[in-house]
Amino acid sequence: MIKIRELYFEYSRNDFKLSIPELDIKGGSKAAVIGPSGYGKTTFLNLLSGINTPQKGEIEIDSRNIGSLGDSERRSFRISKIGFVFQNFELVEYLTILDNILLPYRINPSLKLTGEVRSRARELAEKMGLSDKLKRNVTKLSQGEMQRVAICRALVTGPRLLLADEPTGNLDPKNKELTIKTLFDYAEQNESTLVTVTHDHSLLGGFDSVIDLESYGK
Amino acid sequence: MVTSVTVIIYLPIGLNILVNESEEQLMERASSTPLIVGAKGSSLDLVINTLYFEPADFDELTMLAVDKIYETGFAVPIPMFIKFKARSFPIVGTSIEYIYFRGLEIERGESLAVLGDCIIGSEVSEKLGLNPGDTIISSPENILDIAGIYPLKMNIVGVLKESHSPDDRAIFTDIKTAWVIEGLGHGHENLAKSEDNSVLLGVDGNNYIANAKLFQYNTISAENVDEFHFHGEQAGFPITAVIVIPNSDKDEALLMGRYISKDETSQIVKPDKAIKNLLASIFKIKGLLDSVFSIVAISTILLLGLVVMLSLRLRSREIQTMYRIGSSRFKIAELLVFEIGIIFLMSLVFSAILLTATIRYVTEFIRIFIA
Repeated sequence: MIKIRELYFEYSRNDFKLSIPELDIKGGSKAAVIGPSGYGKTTFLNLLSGINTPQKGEIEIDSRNIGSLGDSERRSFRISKIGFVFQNFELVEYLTILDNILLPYRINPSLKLTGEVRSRARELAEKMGLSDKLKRNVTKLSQGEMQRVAICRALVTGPRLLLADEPTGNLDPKNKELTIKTLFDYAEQNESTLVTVTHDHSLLGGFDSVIDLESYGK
Repeated sequence: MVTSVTVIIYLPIGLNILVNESEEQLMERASSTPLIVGAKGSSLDLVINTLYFEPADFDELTMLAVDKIYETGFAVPIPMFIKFKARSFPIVGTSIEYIYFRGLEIERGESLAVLGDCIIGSEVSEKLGLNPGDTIISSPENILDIAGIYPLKMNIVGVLKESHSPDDRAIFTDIKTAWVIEGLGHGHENLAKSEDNSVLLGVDGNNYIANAKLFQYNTISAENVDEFHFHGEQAGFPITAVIVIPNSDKDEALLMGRYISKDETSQIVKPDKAIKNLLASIFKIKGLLDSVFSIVAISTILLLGLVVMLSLRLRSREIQTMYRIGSSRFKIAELLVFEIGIIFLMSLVFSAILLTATIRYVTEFIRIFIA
């Protein structure tokens, strides 16, 4: 369950402001975030993940007010509870597919890279049709394959909250469908909450709720 | 990047090792040679020719210079006539005192005994596969001069023990043998005993006049050695230098005083002084090179800094991604420092390998270079 109360955030370097008086996202539900460019869709995800902290208000995820957490606690929370999928995949070019999937374990000392984790990574890759390419460098992949690797990386830690920033923005219809299905399946099977920023209104029907940031003003 | 850093680390240190070793080796031979007398001209050419048997273009002396030193009683003179080569190795015409003076030991065979004998250095023996009992022919000075001096076939009587000096790659003969190569001495069939009358053109007192049919020996053997003779006074025969070993410091000073006069046609040189002058020039060049390396090193370090900065900028999204998926800024910085550290560590390892190889082989390398 995500509870937002009297949220206010602004960037010091420009006049951007985001103000959400009250918003609830049910735990295990699928929420779409929409709104024109510049209305703070990515900022909204950054606030949910604790990358940015609001000047005012509260964001409660699973009964924890992330605004009250210190830097290190917020990071631990992010590592253990949240998975990220980006529009541009944001893969590390010089690593193989498997190493990209396991990246969270490589850069977070608090996550232990065990045999079980490796098996999970391989299972995810197999589900995504990547199992025969695990040793391949990611630069040699198609856009769809890159997004599948990025999804595997987001899911490998078993997150309770999955944040996806325009995950289908750069994909063809076939890969778009596969990506959305994978994210939905994961959320449903694991009772995880999925919050997805999208411009694609044709996808909105599949979501449990739609958050239109335009309605909160700029 | 690793190569650039390796070169920056290695070049100044490696150059320093090379220059120091060159200095040590050059000074070692120069310091062990007290004085050299030669014709006036370039003292460095004289020293390089006498110590390292390198060909040099300078005037020759006569044996009179040796007699003159000998007569002073101040020093032991060793004549040196270094002009010819045999199969690219220098022929050093000298006296047996040279072998003793340098402390050279005969490993195989025996010492010089008769005209035409030669002792070869260990490298000559090894490279040409020659041993006592073999022969070696002096190279003609000019292959286009068909009327010139005939090459002389010398008998190898001994091989010197390796001394790690230019002596290893020299062929030592008695100075008289070198004069035979010069054409000042020769051997031919004895006309008085010849049975072929067609060779004899006439007799003038004790002198027999022969035509071109007269057979000239190009090798000196036990059978014909008596037929070899020199025309003219040996005091006027050429030498390239005299190594002078003074009996004492006082004798050295007295002897040097004899060469001060402006009318004196020869010069006396302290080899270590000449080499020091040469090294001073090398050090000037080294100083210049050091400055160039410093500038290149600073420029490269700045460039590497720029490359690192640009690389960080190019990787800003990757860094941002790592942060967003949960890495701390400290951990990211640690990773980047680690990457840069690996580059420097690899450069250090490669530099250390190069420096170890340089230290291991510098002595031999400089020896080859100097020899």
